[in-house]
Amino acid sequence: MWREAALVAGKDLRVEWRSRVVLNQVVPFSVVVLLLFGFALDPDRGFLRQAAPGLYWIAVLLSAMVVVQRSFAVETADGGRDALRATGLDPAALFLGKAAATAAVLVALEIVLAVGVSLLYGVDLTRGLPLLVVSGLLATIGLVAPGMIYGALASGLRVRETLLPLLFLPAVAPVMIGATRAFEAALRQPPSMGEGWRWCGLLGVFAAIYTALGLLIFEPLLEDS
Amino acid sequence: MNDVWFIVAAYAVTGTALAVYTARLLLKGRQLSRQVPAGRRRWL
Amino acid sequence: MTTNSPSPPGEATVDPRPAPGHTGSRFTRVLGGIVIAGLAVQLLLALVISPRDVVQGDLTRIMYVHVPSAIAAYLAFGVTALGSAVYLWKRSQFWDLAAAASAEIGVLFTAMTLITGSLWGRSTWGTYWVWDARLTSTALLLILFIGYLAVRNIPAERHVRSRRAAIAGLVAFVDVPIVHYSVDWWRSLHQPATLTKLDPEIDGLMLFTLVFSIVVFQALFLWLAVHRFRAEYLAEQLDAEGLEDALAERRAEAHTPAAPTAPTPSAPVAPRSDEDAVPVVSAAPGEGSRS
Repeated sequence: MWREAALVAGKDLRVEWRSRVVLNQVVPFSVVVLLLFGFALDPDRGFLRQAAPGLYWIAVLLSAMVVVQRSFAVETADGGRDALRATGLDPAALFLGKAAATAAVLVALEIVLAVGVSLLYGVDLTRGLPLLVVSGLLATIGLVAPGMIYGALASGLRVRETLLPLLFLPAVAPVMIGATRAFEAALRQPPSMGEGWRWCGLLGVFAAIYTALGLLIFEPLLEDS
Repeated sequence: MNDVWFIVAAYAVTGTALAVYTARLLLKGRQLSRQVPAGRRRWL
Repeated sequence: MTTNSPSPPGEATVDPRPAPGHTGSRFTRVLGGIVIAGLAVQLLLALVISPRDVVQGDLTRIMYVHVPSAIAAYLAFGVTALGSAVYLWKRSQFWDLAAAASAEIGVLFTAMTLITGSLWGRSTWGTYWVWDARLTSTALLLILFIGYLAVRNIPAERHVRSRRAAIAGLVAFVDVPIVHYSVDWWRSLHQPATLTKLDPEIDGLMLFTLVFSIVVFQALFLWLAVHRFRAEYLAEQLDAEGLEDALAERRAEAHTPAAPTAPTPSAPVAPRSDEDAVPVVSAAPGEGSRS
């Protein structure tokens, strides 16, 4: 199963690398979101800095949605969904592979956004760095796992562009809460690490539940199309 | 505004919502019933 | 009990009973009578007979619609989750329809819970909305199941729609406790728990009124759910019939060969250019008017 998952992940990343859609379109999109927050809230630095954890995770959430949509647009094109089934890959491996590739892309985006936040909003990210990294990684899994489930659920439907946000965004509200609180705790002066690690626990539980759910549910999800 | 207004509002909202939903549901049921022939209604 | 079991053509004529023009039956008529009588008694109890609360005065009377709606909503979503699980397991049309019918009524009751709750909040705390844990997670619950209803209404073939809706229902149900827990934790970390502390020594008549209201609302839910189930069933039967008619028509046109409906997978897994092709979804059967 692990080999098949690696195969799928490699294929997705190769598609991504060759098309460069993420680099050419999604990265600029997320940077624009950061700029928009500057326009919407007074770019008085103190205010943006205070709200930075929340703004950062909203930007990540929106980018994650685009990335998930993209990950399944690749499959749906030319009946790729049927083709995937025809290869006889284990659905669980398919889930893991696609999730891994999407997570890798999302982590890259998060790094770009983190640099953007620290430059544009004047946030010092070196404070509480381990907490930032761990909570960021857990939150990424927590976004990608439900993203794969709902992405597959909406894929191949004519209403997929409108259906995915409606299903995906309320479901990941706990990730939004947990990740924002963890970042707030890490950036506080002085950082309150204890509180931050507790939020990491919540993020971890969420990620674990959705990963398990995805492994179980991908098979019936791909059966039709 | 006093308490009575809020109580009336709460009961009015609940009552209206239920009444409208029920009326629409029964009408829809009637409409569909007329179109579906008896042989296809095993579960009714 | 598979999803598609057309009755033999003869059956319609053999069945002597005329088709009733509604979704009622003796069961629903009896239940409906009980519900109407119950609601009348409930109103009398809630608005007239039950005493005023020591702390909140008459405002507790909102509780007698707020709490029963909330419990009916939970019951409805529970049925949806159960129906979704059983559908995925057994592929039974009955449970698929039960999940669908129950979810819609659950959304109705959740919306009513939120509205009556915010009216209650406005009158006791002075604002329609506070970022209270229970309010916030109820709002998310409403949106999650609005999403479920959206999946129920996707234009697609019936089995595709049912399968995906069942999965959406299950995932939403799993999400609810996590959402509740995280919101709870978030709010309690930042502000002390507010909200209704009901008197521990709740008046006997008040308690009876509340329990009675809850029972009546569950009966109302059951009555609505049965009618909604039957309407959904009829809609599906109508869709199936329309499909059969269309197929028969097409067969009648003898010179035209039957059109292939399944898209042929055209490419292997290999990386390809990223044009987002329009996916092939056969439109005809799923497009029945559903509001």
